[in-house]
Amino acid sequence: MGNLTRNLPGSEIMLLGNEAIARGALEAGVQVCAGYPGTPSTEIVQSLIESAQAANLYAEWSVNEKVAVEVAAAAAFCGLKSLASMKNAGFNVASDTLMHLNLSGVGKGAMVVVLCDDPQAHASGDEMDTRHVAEIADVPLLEPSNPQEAKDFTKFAFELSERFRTYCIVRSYTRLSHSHGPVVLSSLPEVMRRAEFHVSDLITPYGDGRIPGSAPVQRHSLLHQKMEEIREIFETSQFNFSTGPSNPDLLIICSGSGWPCSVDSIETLGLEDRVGILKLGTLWPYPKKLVAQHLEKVKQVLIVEEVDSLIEGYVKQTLADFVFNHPIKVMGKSSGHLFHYGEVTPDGVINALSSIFNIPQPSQDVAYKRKVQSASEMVIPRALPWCPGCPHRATFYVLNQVFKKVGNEIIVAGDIGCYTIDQWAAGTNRTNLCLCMGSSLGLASGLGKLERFGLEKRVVAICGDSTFFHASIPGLINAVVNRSKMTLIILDNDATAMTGFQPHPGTGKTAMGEKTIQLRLEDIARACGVSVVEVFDPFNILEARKIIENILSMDGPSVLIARRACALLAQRERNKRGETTAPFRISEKKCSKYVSSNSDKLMPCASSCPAGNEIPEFLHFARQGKFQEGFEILRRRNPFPAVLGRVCYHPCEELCGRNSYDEAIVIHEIEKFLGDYGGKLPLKKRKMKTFNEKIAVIGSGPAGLSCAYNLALMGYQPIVFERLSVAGGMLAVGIPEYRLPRQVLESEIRQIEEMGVQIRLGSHMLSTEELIPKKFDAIFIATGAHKDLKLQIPGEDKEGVLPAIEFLRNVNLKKSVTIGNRVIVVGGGNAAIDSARAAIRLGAKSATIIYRRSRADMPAHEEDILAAMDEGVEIQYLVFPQEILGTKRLSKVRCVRMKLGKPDESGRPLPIPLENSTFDIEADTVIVAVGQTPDFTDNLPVSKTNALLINDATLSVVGKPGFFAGGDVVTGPSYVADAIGAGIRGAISMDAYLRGKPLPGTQKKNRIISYEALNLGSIPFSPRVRGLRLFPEKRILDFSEIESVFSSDEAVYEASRCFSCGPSCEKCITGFHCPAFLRDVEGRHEIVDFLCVGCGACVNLCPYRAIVDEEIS
Amino acid sequence: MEMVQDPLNLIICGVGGQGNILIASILAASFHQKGYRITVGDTFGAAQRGGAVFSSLRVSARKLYGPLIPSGKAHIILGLEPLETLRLLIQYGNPEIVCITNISPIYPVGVIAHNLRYPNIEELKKSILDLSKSAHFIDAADMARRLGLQISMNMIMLGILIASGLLPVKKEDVLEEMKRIFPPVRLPANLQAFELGIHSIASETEIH
Repeated sequence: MGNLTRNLPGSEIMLLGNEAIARGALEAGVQVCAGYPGTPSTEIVQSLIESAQAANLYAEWSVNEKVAVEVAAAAAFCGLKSLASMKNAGFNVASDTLMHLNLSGVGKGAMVVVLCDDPQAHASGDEMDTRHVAEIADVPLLEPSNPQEAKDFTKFAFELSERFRTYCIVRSYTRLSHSHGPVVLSSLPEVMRRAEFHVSDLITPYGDGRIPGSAPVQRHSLLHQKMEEIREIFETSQFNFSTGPSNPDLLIICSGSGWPCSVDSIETLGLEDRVGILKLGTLWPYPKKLVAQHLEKVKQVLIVEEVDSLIEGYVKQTLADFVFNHPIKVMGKSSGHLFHYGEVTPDGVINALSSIFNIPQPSQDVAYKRKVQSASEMVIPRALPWCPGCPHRATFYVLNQVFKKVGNEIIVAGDIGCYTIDQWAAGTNRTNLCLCMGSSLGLASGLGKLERFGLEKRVVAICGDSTFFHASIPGLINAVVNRSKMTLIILDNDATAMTGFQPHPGTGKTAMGEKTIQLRLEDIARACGVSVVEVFDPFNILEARKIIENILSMDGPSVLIARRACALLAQRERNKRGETTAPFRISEKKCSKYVSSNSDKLMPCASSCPAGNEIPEFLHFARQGKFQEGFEILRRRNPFPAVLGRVCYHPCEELCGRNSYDEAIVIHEIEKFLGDYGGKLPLKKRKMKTFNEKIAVIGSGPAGLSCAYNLALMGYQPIVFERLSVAGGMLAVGIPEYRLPRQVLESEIRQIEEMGVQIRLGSHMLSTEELIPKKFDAIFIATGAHKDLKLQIPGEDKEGVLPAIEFLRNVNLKKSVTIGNRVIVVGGGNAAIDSARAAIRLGAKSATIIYRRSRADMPAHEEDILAAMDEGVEIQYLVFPQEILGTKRLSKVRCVRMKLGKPDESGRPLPIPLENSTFDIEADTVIVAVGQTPDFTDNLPVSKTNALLINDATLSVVGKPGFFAGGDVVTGPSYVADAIGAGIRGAISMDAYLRGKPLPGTQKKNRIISYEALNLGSIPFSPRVRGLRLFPEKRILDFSEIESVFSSDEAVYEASRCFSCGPSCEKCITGFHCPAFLRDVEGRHEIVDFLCVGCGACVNLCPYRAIVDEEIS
Repeated sequence: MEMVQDPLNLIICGVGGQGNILIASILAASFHQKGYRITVGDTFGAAQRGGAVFSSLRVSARKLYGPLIPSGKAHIILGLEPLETLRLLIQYGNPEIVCITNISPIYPVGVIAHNLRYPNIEELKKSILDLSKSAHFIDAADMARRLGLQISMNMIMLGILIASGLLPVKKEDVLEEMKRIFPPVRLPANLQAFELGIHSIASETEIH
C-alpha cells in the first residue's frame, strides 16, 4: 500500500477503495482508529497503521469489534475524531455498543463507523446487508460507489458526525473495498486536537436519573429530530445525482455497486436515450422528497442495490407518502427482475433491462456457446488449499488418525480462520459444525451437556488463537462452570493469519509494531478453571498423537494447544533475518519409486504370492478408490481374483510387514472385492490373435485355465480339453459352494473365454503320441489329482464308504448323494474338512473327523478348521480307523488311538498305534479323505506318487519336448494359488519355446524389504477390517456363501493400512496433500523447490526416510 | 488518445501467490500516468495462496467504469496458469478475444487429494485456441526457473503483454512505474524478468 500521507492537494493517485476511506479519514483529521481484521475491511485500519507515524495518530487491532468501537467512542468522547472499521459480521459483535452509542451520542468529537459488506459472501459466512443498521440505530448512512466517493463520503461523514454529535456509517462492500481507482486528494489538516474530558460530563443513553426510565425515549425522540435535520441536508446533497434523459422511459434508482453495473448495462444495450439514473449516496435518512421529485417524471422505476431490497422498500413508502398523478411501477427484487441474494452484476442488470424493454440480450453466437459448453467439461475446480507447511494440515492429519483409532464417535465444532479450510475440498472434512467467531466453544459447551439425553459422542471444539481471544473465552468459562464434557483444541499459529498476519494478544506485538505483554493461551485456559491443559507441536506427529489420545480418554473440559507458527509467517520471519529456507527434496537413492525399478528387492507380500499377484500395486489403487485399475493389475496375469480372494490360504498375510506392527492387511478380502468389482464391469473385447501355433491345454482347472488365459493375452488361441461336463477342475468339483459360489467361478471362466480361450467339455483324452506333432505345437498338461487314495483297511468296500473327492464332486455337480445321519470323515486336509461341512449341510445329524496326528499337524487351513468346529463338526485327534464293520452297509468303525513318534519322510511325526486302545464309533457313512493322486495313464515320466516329472525352472516335461505341465498333476494335492502360478509360468515357458526365445532359468531367490528398515513412526495402530460371516446356525442350512464381501469404504480403509513398502508408495503425496508435492506423468515424485517452505512435516511420512534436507544431503 | 476498444477490458488470472495483483497495479499506474481512466477489480483476502484469483482492468479514454466486466466482454486475458485461463475464457470470452498464457500448470489440490484429472495440456491449449481469436502460449515458468527467479514469472508475463503491442502503454511507461513500486532491493531481479519477457515475444511464444 502506498504512502497515504502525501500532502499534495489536487493531485490524483490510484488508490484501493479501502485506502481511499483511510485517506478520507486522514483528511478529516482522524486521530484514533480501531478495528478487527475481516475481509473486505482489513486494509482500512492497516493503511492507517502504516500512516500512524506520519499522521501522528493512534491505531490498534482490538481484541474484537465491540472493543474497537468502544476504543473509538472513547476518543470521540474526549473530543477527538475516531474511526472504527469492521466487516459485516463484525457489526454483529459490536452491535450492543453501537445500539447505545446512537442514543448517548459521541460527545464533542466525531466518529465514523465503516461497515464493509460482502455480497456474494466471497469471504464470509453470510452476505448480510448492514445498511439496515442505519434505520434501526437512526444514524446517517452513506454508500459510496468508487474510491473517489469513498474518500469524499468518509471525510463528509466526519463533518456530519461532529456537527450532529452522532456517529455516521459509511457502508462499503467487496467490489469497492478491493477495487483501485483514481482519487483526487485534498489537503491534510495541520493542527490536531487535544483530548479533553470534563469530570462533570455524563455520556450515556440513560440520562441522569432524575426522571426514571424516560431518558432513552427522550433521547430517541431527540435523535429523530436530528435525523430530520440531516434529511433536509441530504435532500440537496451533491452525493445524490441523476444522469440521462429528464423524462426517461425507465428510471434506475441505485446505490453502491448498483451504479457502475447500471451504467455498464445501459451502455451495452444502447439504452442511453431511454433510461435515466438516480444515484443515491446518502441512504439514511432517506431523501424522500428528492426521490419523489424524480418519481413524478417517470412511470417505471427499477431499483438496483445489494443485497436486500432496502431502497426498494423506501421507494415504495414514497409512493404511499406522496401523491402522484400517475401510477408508477416499481421493479427490483420483489418483482423478480433482480435477486434477493448474491451480488449485483452488469449481467444481472442487463437481464432485467432486456426483460423490461423486451429487447434481446447481446448473446454469444451459437457456435461460440457450443464451444464454451464443451470446454466447460474440461475445467476442474481449484479449491483453496492450506499453504505448503501449514500447521493446520498436520494438526487435522493427526486428529483424524487419533479419532479413527478411538472409534471416531466425535462431534467436531469448528470456527472461523484458516482452519475453516478443513470443511472445504482441500481439507479433511472432519468438522461437523461451524457458525461464527467463537461459536465452537459455545456449541461444544452445549453439546457436552447432552449426555443425559442420550448423546453418546465425544465433543471437540477447534478454534484459532486470534478467535480464542476474540470470542471464545466466555464459552470456555461456561463449559468449565457448567461441567460440560468437551475438549478445546486451540490452533495457535501465532497470527491472525487468514486476513494477513495481524497481531493479537498472543503475539506480543501491537498493531503499531511495539513489543508488549504476550498473553499465553495455556495461562488463560488455566485461569478459566481448566485443569487439563497441554501444548503440542503438530509437526511432531508421534508426540502429538500420544497427547491427543490421552486427553480424549478423559472427560474434560480440557484444552489442547497445537502450537506452530503459520508457514507464511515463519517464512517472512526467516526472510527478515536473512535466513534462506532449505526446501526438502525426495532422494532418488532412497525413494521406493526410484529404487524399486532398478533393484531386485520385493515387498514381503509380493515375494510370497505363488500366483505372482502384484499385491502392492493393486493395494495402491484400491486405497485411492481406483477399483478398476486395481482389478486390471490383478488380471494382468491372474484370471481368478474373485476365486482366489475366496479360497486362497493367503501366505502374503503371514509375511505382511503389518503383522509385526499390529495386524496384517486382509489382502485376500481386497483381492476378492476387486475381483467381484471387475466381474461386474463390461467384458473386455477379445484380443486379436497374432500367433498361429496350435496349443492344447489338458484340464480346465486353475493351472490349465491360467495357462490358457495368459497364452491368450500373449496372442495365442489355446484350446482347453476338459473331461468333465463342467469347467474349473477342483474349483468346480472339489471346493463346495459355501466357499466358492458357482456363479463367481462361472463369471471368471466366461471372462477367460472372452479372451479367446476355447473350452471343450466332455472331451475324450488323447494319448500323448497323438498330440504332437500332428495336431498341436505345444501342450500344457494340467489334469490335476482327482483320484482318491484308499485307506486299505478291511471293510472299505462296504456300502456307505465314500471316497472324498468323488463325494465332493457329486455334491458340487448336484448329483444325488446318499448321506446317513452319523458321518465319520477320515483325514486331516481341506478335503476332509469340506467333506464334514458338506455332510452337515446335507442333513447329517453328526459329523466327526478322525485324524491320526495332532491338531498342530493338521494340513487343513486353520480358519477352515475353526469354521467347521463352529458348525458342529467334531474332530478327534490321534485316531486312526483299523476296520470298517457291518453287514452290507457299514455300522461301526473300529479305531485305534495313536501317539506321535519320530518324524517320518514328510517331516511330520510318525503316528504309532497305542496298544490296547481300540474302540468303536457308530456310523452309517464314512468319507475317506486320506489323499489324492493324479489319475491319468500314459507313458509320461512320473514319480513314486504318480506325479509328473518336470524341469522346475521351465515346467517342461522331462524328456518330452513340447510338453509342459503344472498344478496338482506335478505337485500332488496343493493350493489353488500355486496352480495358478504354475499356469502362468507354463504360459511364459511355452511362449518362449514357440518363439525360439531362451526358456526361463531357475528363479533366483528374491531379496525382501526388511520390516526393521522402515520408518513407521507416523502410522498409528489400527485394527484390520473384519468382514461379516453368517452365524453357524444359518450356515449349515444350505451351501450359500458364508463370508460377505467388503464394501468400497472397507476396501479403501483396509488398503490404506498398507505401509506401501514398495514402488507404489505414495505416502508423501497422499498423506498430507501438501501443494508443494508433484506427481508427474510417469508417476515419479518431486517436491517443487520454490513452493516448499522447509517445514519438514512430511519427513515423518516416508517409510524409507527418503525426504531429505537439501543442505545436508 | 482514442482507443480501438473503449472500455478496454483486460483480465489477469492465475493462482493465488503468482502475483497477478502486482501486474494489475503496475499496469493501472502506467495507464493512469498516461491520462487514461482506469478501474481495477481484484479478488484477494481469503483467496490467498493456492486459490483461483483474477484481476480485471477497465481502461477508458472517456470515463471510469465499474470493476466488474460483463460476461463475454473481455478483450485480453493474460493468464499466469492455463487452467485458470480457460476458466476465465468460459465466463468472459468471445470470438475476438486474445489470450496470452503461461503454459506450465499448477495442479489444484483436488488432483492429488480427490483424483480429479488435470486436463491434458494439448487439449487445454486447443480449447483456449478454440475460444479465442488468437492465443499465445509460453512456458514462462520454465523461463523464470532458468533465470533462477521462479517468483518473477509474473514480470515476464507483463513484459510479453507489453511487447505484444495490444495495450496503449509502452515499455518505458511500465518501467517508470516499476521503479516507483518496487523497493530498491527487489527491483533489479524484476526488471530482468520484465526485459526477458519483452524480448521473448519473437522467440519463445507459439503464435497462432
